[in-house]
Order: sequence, then structure tokens, then C-alpha cells
Amino acid sequence: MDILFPIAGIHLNVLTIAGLGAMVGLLSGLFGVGGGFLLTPLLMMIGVPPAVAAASDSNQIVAASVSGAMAHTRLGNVDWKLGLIMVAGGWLGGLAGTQLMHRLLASGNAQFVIQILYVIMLSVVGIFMFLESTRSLFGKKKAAAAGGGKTPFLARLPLRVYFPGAGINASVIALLGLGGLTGVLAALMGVGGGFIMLPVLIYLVGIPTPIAVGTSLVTVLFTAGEVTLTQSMINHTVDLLLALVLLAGSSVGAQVGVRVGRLLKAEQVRVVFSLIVLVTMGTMVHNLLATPHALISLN
Amino acid sequence: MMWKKIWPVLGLTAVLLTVLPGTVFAAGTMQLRLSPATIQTGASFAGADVTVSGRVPPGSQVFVRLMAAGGPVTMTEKGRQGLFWLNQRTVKVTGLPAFYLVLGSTDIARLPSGVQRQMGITGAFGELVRAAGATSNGAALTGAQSAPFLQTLIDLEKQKGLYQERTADFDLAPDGAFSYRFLVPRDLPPGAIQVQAWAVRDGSVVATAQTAMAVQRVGLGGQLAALAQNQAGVYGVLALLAALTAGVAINFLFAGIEGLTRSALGRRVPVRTGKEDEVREVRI
Repeated sequence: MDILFPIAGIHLNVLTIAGLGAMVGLLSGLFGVGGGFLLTPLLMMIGVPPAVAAASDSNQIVAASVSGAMAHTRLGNVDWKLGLIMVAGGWLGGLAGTQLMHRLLASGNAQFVIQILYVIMLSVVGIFMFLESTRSLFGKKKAAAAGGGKTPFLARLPLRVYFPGAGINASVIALLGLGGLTGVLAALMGVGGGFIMLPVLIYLVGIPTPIAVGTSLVTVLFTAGEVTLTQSMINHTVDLLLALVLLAGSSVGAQVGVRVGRLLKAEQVRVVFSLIVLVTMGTMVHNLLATPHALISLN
Repeated sequence: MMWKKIWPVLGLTAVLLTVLPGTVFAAGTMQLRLSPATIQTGASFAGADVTVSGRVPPGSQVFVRLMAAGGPVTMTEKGRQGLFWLNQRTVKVTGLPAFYLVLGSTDIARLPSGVQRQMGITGAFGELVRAAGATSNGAALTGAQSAPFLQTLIDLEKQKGLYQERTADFDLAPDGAFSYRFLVPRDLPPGAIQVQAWAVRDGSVVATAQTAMAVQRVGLGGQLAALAQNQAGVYGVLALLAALTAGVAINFLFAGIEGLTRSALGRRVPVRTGKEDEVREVRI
């Protein structure tokens, strides 16, 4: 059943889009990640313009993260003082990223920049995840979690403030910078940024894991929301219909993924996920290096 | 005496009344109708049947052109930079229509060149290329420089069925009545489509007619597209609220399903206490 997605401006099969969302939702339910960094390149591969894919993915992330943010708030896992500082950085970063996207679209090289960023990100995430999961699978000890002992690097930067929710002193500059980076990535690539925020908060800022998970999820929610607004107003690239169809699929997929994940060894799941990430990265590299089908195309 | 003065007048009048209507008819009018006159395109629009009909002077061939005005189109040209293929030039193409369909009861190429030029249809979309232009960084491109861009755009539109020039099997009666049913593509652009028809006989245009067809985008998709363009701030807030509402609703839906499932199964499941790495089992 093909329908016209009004902002993307192309006809797509509804079941294909929902299935894509379900597949990414399944993986995110299995592994506990947002999946946005996989969804945007997959949308580009089926013909959705990159700018629309990134912006609509941000819209979808708002829907996907709101329930998790509510749950963590109820559990007391959100340090609102820390989170609001990162949100402020995220909003500035999101605005800057949207303006940068606007310039890239005008120059005609938005697709190239987005693809390069994804190749870099997917390479780092995929290789790190593959190495970590194969080490775990073959019995090597996991790295110890941060906490206690020496103060992590980012927490020692100037303008340090005490955050009672997390129970730590941390640098406002580090938090603003982290939020800003998340906002730029959200605007350019349609990702939530949790895959960067979480390890930085835990290992480089020194926040306890549950607080880091809840606070980063709330930050992702607010940042993705701001990016949805700015992309709509400046670049007109949010396809609400596309986001809602994706959400329908990803919600079902995530629920199935959570239940299937209980039946499998975590290391096995991570190996498979990392291989999927690496295959996606390889496909994007091939698309960047191979001679295009047509040298002249619509912008 | 009076009859001798009157009959030339009557005779001339009779001749004029007999000849003139045909002459007037042959000199520039024909009947042209399109059905439906309005096409509504929604999210699931897959194309629509349209019937063009009317009347031409007997013995004429019929040519019909449907054309929708198009706006500027931006195209890019890739070139190799190191390992990668990057966009090296951005070109703006103007003057090409958004929709162009030419139907002829005989091959356009068989018409005299003068007739082709009079109709503005010379085959192989030649008139479109001549009327269009291209600029890069504000500077106009020459014909040779713009030709690849124009041809690429024409080829892309042909693939979508938006550009067609073909000989059609018109139902053409001896008295000049004609009709033909054709399919318009699903990517038909919204707006007005100008329809012009010609009757060609003995190597010259003997009649012309014009009408118009409207394409309206309806349904949720059309409303969203209009809102996104015309009231972007409102659209952004709507997108945000819709996502928040959908996320909360789906969360409650699956929480309810899981609650019902637990009630039915009554089994022990691990539950996180909220403290780091602490899990305990509870009976549900």
C-alpha cells in the first residue's frame, strides 16, 4: 500500500516503513538503545531525502523517549538540575545544527556530510561494540563501572557545581558542551545522542549509571523536541506522517525485542547488533565511493 | 421588379448562411471538454482516468496538450574529489513545466514544421528545451552547458510519467466528434493544468480550443503539506504534540497489555528496585 508522504514528497509503502521501524525497534528493545542512528541511514537507503530522514527521525525519537523519561522520573533517576544544564546546551547545539543543515542544503552537499558523519559514527560504535561483545562472549572480564576514587576528567573542568540528585560535583562547561554536541548530532543526523551522552556521563563525568540513564533520556527528549521545532520552522523537513508510521512499527518492535532479549545472552545480542551496524556502515561507504548512477541529479 | 432586386440579396444571404458557419468553424473554433474537470489527489492517489472529447472540423487530425506551470528546480552535478563524489555545481533550471502531456491522433513528426512551430510542439520535447533556461551562481548557462541538466530533468519526469508525447488512438468520427481516455500519473502536481487543442487539416491548423483542469490535493497529507509550508511554527508544535501524545498512548497501551498478561500468567519476574544493579523477583 503506497502512500504519498507529504514532506518527503515521495510514495513509500506503509508496510515497508512500519517494518523498518519495527526492525529498529526490535534491535533497540534487545539492546536498550534508541536506534535513531540506524534508522536514519536505513530511511536514506530506501529513498527518503537525507534532511527529511534526519528531521523525521528526531520527531520519532520524541515519541519513543517520552515513556522512558516518564518511567525514570517516577523512579527518581533524573537529576533535573544537571539535566536542564545539558538541555540548555542541547537547545543551542540543536539550533546551530539546524542552521548548519540549512547551509548544507543550500550548498547541495547535505547528503554527503550526513553520510560521512554516519560512516564515522557507525564505525566507532560498531567496532567498539563488536570488540566489547566478543570479549564478553569469550569470558573476558567486563570493564569496571566508574565511581569512587579519582574524579573523572570532565568533572574537573572549571565552573564546578554540586548536583544533589547525582551526588557529585561536575563542571557546567562540560555539561553544556555535552548537551551542545548532542544537539548538533540530533539536528544533522536525527539521532537522540544517548549513545554518546551515556558513556560520557558515566565514565568522564562520574554520574551513577541509573541517574545517567534517566537524565540522558530526559535530555534526549527535550533536545529532540527542540530539533523537531527548529527543523520544521527553518528547513521544513519534518514529515509527521513518516514519524508516526515509524513510531507505530518501532513501538511494537521494541516490546517484542525486550521480551526476546530476556531469552538470549546479552553478549550474543550485542555481537549481532554490532555486525548489523558494521554492515550498514559498509553499505554507506560503498555508496560514497562508488561512481554514482547519475552525475547530474535533483538537489 | 422588386423580386429582381431582392433575389440577389436573398441568394447572397443564403450562400453566406451556408458557407459562413463552416468557414467560421474552420477558421478558429472547436469544441473541447475534459472529464473530470477537477481531480482530487490524496495520500493514496494512484492516478486517474481522464476523458478528452469534443468536435473538430470533419477530416481533421486532433492534437491535445496538457501543461502545468512549474517552478525553478535545483539540480546538482557531482564530480570526483579525492576518493569521494561530491556536488561540484548547483544549477537552477527554470521554465520547464511540472506536467506535460501531448496526445496526437497522428504522429507529430509527420506535420509540417510550420504547423509544429505554430502549435509549439516539435516532438522530443524540443520546444520545452528551447523555452527553458539554467543558471549557476546567478550566471546564465549557454545552451550547450544547460542541455545535460535539462535533458536529465526531462528524463526524470518521463520516468514518473509526468512528461509524455505520444500518438493516441483517438475515437475520431467522420463528423469530427472525437474522444480519448487516458491515465494521469500519481505524481500529478497540484494546481491548474492548461489544456489546449488543435485541429489540423491539409497541413494547416484549422481550429483551436482551450480549457483548464484543476488538481486539488486533499486529505491529511495535503493539509499537512500546506501547514508545513505556510504555518511552519504551528506545524512544528503539532508534530511535537503528536509525538508526545503517541508516545504516552503507546506506553499506556503496552503497559496495560503487559498487566493483563501478568494477571493471566501469574508468574515470577525480575524487577529492578531502582538501586544500581539490584534486582529482585516478585510474583505477579
